Amino acid sequence: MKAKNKAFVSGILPRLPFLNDLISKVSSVSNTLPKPMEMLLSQKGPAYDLMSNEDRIQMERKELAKRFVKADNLYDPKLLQDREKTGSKRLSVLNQPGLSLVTDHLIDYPAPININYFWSFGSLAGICLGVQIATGIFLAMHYTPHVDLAFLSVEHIMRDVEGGWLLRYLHANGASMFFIMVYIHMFRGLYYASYVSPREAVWCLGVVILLLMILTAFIGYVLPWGQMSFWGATVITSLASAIPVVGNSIVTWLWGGFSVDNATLNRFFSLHYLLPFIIAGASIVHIAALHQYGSNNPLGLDASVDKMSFYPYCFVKDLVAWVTFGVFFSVFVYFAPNFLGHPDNYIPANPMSTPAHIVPEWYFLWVYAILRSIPNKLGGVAAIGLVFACLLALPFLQTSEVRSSLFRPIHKKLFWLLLADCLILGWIGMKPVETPYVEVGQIASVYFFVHFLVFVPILGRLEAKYSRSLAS
Amino acid sequence: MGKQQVGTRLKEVVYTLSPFEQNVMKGLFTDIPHKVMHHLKQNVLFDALPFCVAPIAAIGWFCADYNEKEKQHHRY
Repeated sequence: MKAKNKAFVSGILPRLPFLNDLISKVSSVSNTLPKPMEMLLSQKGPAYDLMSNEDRIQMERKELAKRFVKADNLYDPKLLQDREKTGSKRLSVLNQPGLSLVTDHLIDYPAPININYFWSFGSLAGICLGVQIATGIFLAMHYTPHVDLAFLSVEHIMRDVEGGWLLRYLHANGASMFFIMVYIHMFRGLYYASYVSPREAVWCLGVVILLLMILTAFIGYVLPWGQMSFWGATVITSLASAIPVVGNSIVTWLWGGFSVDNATLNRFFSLHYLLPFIIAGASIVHIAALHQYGSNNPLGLDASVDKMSFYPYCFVKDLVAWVTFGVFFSVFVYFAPNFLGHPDNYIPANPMSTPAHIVPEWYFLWVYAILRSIPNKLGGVAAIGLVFACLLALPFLQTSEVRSSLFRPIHKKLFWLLLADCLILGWIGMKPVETPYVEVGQIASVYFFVHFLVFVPILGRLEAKYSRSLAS
Repeated sequence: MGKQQVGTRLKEVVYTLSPFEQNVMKGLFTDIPHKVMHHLKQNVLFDALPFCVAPIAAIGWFCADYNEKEKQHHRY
């Protein structure tokens, strides 16, 4: 309210000559005008219109700086005294305790001025999560988690429920969209090295969110109770049996019996409803961690100047990305809803008939290829663990003095090689386990680990050595 | 820079230029062909093409060729 008063006093009063005259008379006679008003009038008086452009810009700068000093000052005793003097007891709506969080993180959040469209993929991932939760809640109203009814209830949603086909296609393709957005978001982080200090916690929380997403998507794929649901669940949950001593007990505990059955479906449904809310909570922590030090930018420089407020600048930019994403998403939902799925999942689950090729959803194929490339069950499980350990350790393996790949030509090339490697792993994951795919998968898996464990630490040291030799 | 901690928490937007001074669109539409070519050369021609597209294409070609030779080998 103080800011509003200031704006009113400094902006409107000087432009109303009769009020201005009245105030000047009152102030000259009684000299009891409240201090802030006096101060503002002296700054921005009738002479404002006669000022040069440079002086006006200086004044506007000061006004802008004041606008962004917000909630922290609200309970300042001096401000309270000022409010009492001006007679105003109200705060601006956006400075109310609950909404000040929105103001701080979505409106006045200081964003770097040079971020590009790759910085929109975080908010796009958030939108995907929202779509998944919203459509999932409505699907759960019509779905039945029972082995005899699950497949039929999905068909019921598709045929009998009003708009059910749209809900299901939005949910099924929404999962793919969520992974596309998150993978692009991650590769942006890798390219611009957004994970290095002081944003290690942001990156590590992101990896935890990815793990939770993988878990949620996996158990969600079991729910339609098609052939690929059943056999995918059987293969992946059986991996736990590779753990020495307690492996078999864990598998029995996961299944709730001695095979993938009704108990498994029930608990998977329950967890599939719970986990997205945990992901949402983890995402809020992820954003809070990000906003502690602010976003990275394409130049990779830490700067507390040259920031712009999130609203309207970044909001409008994100809006363009959201609309484009909406079009992309709609193409899949309306024109190719089953393009990203597997046809075998339209066959009801049959424990007596194993499909010729059991493959997971496309977004797990790269991990699946790493799992299959090691001809030992425990080794494969350990390799998957190592993948996520590498991702978690990445901020601590990085030794470079420079962040952005724009200034690291060799890192830029290694980045593209890593992207190629992940795409090759994804392609290998959907191929049968035979020569030459096995060998190619093994080489690609080894390269994946070499990138993180060898190239990332060594390259930074080489760059530092080279730059020192140039300087001397 | 890599390991240094940022000492201060960001709490407010600090403008070095007033929005009235920021000519954000200045020069955006000048010399577009040069800008497009520069961008393509820097990112696509010298990096993405040889280090991402080429390895994928080479491995795809290798696997297809291997399968074809296997097929020919077992034909008679």
